[in-house]
Amino acid sequence: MEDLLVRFYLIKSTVLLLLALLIGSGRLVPAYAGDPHPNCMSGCDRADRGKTTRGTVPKATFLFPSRYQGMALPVADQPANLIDRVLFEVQREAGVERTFRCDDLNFMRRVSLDLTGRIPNLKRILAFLKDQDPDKRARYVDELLASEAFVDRWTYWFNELFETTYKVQNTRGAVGFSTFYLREAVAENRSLATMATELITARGNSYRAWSTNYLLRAGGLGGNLQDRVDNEATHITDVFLGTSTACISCHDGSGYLDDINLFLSRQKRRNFWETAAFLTAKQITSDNPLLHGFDLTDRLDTPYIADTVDGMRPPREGGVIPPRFVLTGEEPGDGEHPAAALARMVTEDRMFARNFVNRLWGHMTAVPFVSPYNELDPARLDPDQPPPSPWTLQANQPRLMEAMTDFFIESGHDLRATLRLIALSETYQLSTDTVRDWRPEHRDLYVRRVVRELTGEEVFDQFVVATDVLRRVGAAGIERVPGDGDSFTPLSFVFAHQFPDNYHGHMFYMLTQFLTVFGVGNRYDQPRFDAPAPSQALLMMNDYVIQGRIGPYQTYIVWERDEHGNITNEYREVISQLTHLAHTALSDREKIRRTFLAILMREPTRLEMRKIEALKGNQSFVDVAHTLHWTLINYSEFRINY
Amino acid sequence: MDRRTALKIGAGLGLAGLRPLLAGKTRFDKRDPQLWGTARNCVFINTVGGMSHVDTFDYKPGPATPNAMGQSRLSSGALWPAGIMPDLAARGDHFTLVRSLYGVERNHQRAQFAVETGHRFNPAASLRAEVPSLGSLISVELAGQRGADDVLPTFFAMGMRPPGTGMFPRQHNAYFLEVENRFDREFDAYLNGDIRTRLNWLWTLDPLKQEGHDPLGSRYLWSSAEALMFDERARAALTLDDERQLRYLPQQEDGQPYVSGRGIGEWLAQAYQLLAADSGTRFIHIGYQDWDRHSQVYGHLAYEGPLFDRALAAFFDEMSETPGVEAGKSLLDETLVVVVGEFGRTPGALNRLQGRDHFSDAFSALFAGGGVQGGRIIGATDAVGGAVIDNGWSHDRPIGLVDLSATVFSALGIDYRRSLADTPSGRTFYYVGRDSWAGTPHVIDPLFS
Repeated sequence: MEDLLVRFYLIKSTVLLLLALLIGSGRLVPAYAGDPHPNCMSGCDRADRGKTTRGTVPKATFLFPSRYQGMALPVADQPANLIDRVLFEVQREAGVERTFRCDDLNFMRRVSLDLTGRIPNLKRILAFLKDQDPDKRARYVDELLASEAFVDRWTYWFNELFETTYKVQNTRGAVGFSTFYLREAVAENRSLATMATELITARGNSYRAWSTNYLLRAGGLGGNLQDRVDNEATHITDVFLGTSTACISCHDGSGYLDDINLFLSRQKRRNFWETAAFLTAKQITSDNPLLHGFDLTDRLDTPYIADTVDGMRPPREGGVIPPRFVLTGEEPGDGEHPAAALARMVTEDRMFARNFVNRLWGHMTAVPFVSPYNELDPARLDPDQPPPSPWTLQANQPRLMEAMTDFFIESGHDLRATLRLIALSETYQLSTDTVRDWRPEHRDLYVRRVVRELTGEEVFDQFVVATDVLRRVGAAGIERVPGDGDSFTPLSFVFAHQFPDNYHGHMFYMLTQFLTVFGVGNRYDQPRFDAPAPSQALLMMNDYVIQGRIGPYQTYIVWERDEHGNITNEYREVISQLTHLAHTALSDREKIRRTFLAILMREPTRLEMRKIEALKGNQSFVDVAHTLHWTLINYSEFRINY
Repeated sequence: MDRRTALKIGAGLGLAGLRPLLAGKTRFDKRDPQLWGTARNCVFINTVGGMSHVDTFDYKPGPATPNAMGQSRLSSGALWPAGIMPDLAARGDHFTLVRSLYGVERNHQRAQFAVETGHRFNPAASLRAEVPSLGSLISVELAGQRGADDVLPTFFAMGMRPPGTGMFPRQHNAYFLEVENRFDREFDAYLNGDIRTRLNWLWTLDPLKQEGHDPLGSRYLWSSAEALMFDERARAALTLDDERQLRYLPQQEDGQPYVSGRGIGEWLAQAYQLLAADSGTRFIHIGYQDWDRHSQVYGHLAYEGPLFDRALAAFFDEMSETPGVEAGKSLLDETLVVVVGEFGRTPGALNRLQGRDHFSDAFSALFAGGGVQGGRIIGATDAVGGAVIDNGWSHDRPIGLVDLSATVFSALGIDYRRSLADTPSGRTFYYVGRDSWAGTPHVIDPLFS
């Protein structure tokens, strides 16, 4: 009987596989993180991996042709929130049916990775499976939003967005900006408008007033005053408004951007200088940058003078430039500090909200409304005021982008509320697999979830939780001693998303090499890239970061801390969850099942179970545990969010 | 039949039989002087941060120059800091110095992009994202020349990872080597028990790695990795020989190596092994960092100069002693070596931190091997190295980084004038970009003629 079932299963799988090859296209897109300068595969709507030209669209198939056989595949018809209300109507008008809802484990893994950059441990997975509450997905989202892991992940997201780097800010400034300013802002769910205002108007010393490190980084090192404020203005429009003005920092838009960006094609270089002119009221000085950091002070007697012949940009000629905001032409009010005026204009502008909505939507769905994130065209986003022909609206779903922008503004620029809105939509919870006819252009209708590759940080952190070996990976740098103001101790951490910056690779080489092989950049002159190489597979197969955490005999040491947070001489030995599982009294089949849950967060298929039992033969589970762990960690699906 | 058609047919038939035909200059139309095709391989050393040209390749000793920098003349007549680079001083016939480089970028990120890609940095991320690194594009172009037994990747990178593959397939990404940690972390399965058994489990079980079902396109990562792990030539090429490594490091008075750990000595020793293995590797990128010396420029040169000197001299020696693929040629004859950074440093007096700042009005590069006629100087600067006064070639402008890229392509027999119109952005992609000040890129012909 079992043989018959297996034969039936194999035939069915083959038929489904052939069907999948004939129809459908599952396309892979990369993680976007908070990278304001997405590289090739992150940008330009280039979801087709390996696509060389516009004319070639690779065929793709179902990820798991046999995963859903025999299961009920519920297709949502009631919108959960405003996202679904807009998209369901769009899909109805287009005559395209959306796919079915993903199952609980699929949802749990997806939303855990998107919100926290890691997966839950086995105990939490089993509890979620057991939970019969129909509202358990919403409760789980709230649990993630309230977690420390969320704070780690989104602090890192802002590190990426703001390009936190030891290279420019010095170690102390970068660590302070990341682990103190950003972390505290995320932890208290500070309004993004408040954050932007604090960063644009910051003043003080970069080793004490951590928020000053944003402008310090944005301005870069070296160059004349005009270059520095040009860099800052470019960075501000890029990360806070989603519109890179770097082009018009060197030349007028006309003649260069006529076929790229309608708004910028109408701007002159002078319009850019006027925005940069808000920032000359900030002065950066230092007598010893390494020892004492930089001082960011207010100084109102240094106007923007467009009169340079060298530096990073072509010569400037235009005399004294008064501050005017590039989007509106508004000038500072009487007595208003120029930097404060700029912060006000940036955060009050609708582009500020559109920018973050686009970034958050892209992060969660892997398909932003507009890509790359920093190429929003302010003149082509409002569906009620469409651009003149032949221009078209820029966003793939302009009505939804505007509706979410309204929500974001009304929520008080609330990060968690916006992420929650997305995560709880039916749209977010669609499967990546589809039972309907699928064409590549359906991607912009959001009728199914698009697969994205995990970043190196996500792969690492997922692995840490899957094994539950919470071994610390760093022992250098600085961190704040709890309750002791600005005192510092060596920085050590467990998760990649807790790493402020990987510049000092030699201090954290175990982690930094792993991340480097997986394409992490340095937030300075080496951009993140997502083109994999065989070295990634070699690392996953052989690296002792991996080998030293899997198998049935893994423990790790946790040093106890005293009431002040200082490490004591006491320690305890902790057994990994995979080690614990291997030595329980459960049946071998249940151990195999739970190993799949712990690492891949899914049930093994019957075919997999049968194959494993055949490969295992008469050996005990403990005998094959290391091989099973190794195999599942090297599964291709370990590298994706689907 | 044009070359690409021939290569496609060759790929279909198995390239082993076509390789001799495709090797060397003979595969190009000799009527086209722009395609030299003199090199089979290239080692591209990117001195990241900007090497001080006036203290190295365009040596202009001044009042601040320490005596320890030394002073001698190469066979070309070039003044040379023999105090920190004595071994290269004795090998002046191997290389030619180009002293008429000019650029407009003085920002690391932007200028490095030009070095790495042959294109000017475009602030529009979507356009920049289409541009591949030099090595990736070369890997694309040379893909048809790979033989069935070529197990090593075409494109290796060390020291610093170059940009990605742009709009080209991801398989052409660089294999990035962290030399210091590479072998035990990536190749050595000493903790890995029965790796064959594990691989059997993996290939048997993973539903996304099956023949005919590879929806993520990631199967090749593991199949390539497995091939590398079990190929003896690959293991030998990637296992850095201790004795060789010593040859690439300066010796102290007590005979001990001057320094250990990663650095230019290890990278070039590794580069030699990869090329000598003749197992598919054709382009090696070395990101040689830490040349951005705004302070203590001479302190850094006193340390790094001898390391660079010994490593490159040893590389020249081994490469010239090793037979190439073509009869009568050495491996150095078949390998273009380029040393260049994104710009030079401010000439004349040092700044208040005893360093030199960014400077792009004039800087220099070193070329060797791969058909380069050694022992020459191309171009000249004024007395302090602050302006190009002799372009050194037939074109009425200084040499730019785009010309340097064109030269690399040309030496490898790749038509750098090619372009692709069907790009994701719709904008034409030129193999070598157009710099507004330079206009059309040209090959630095005096290197070869």
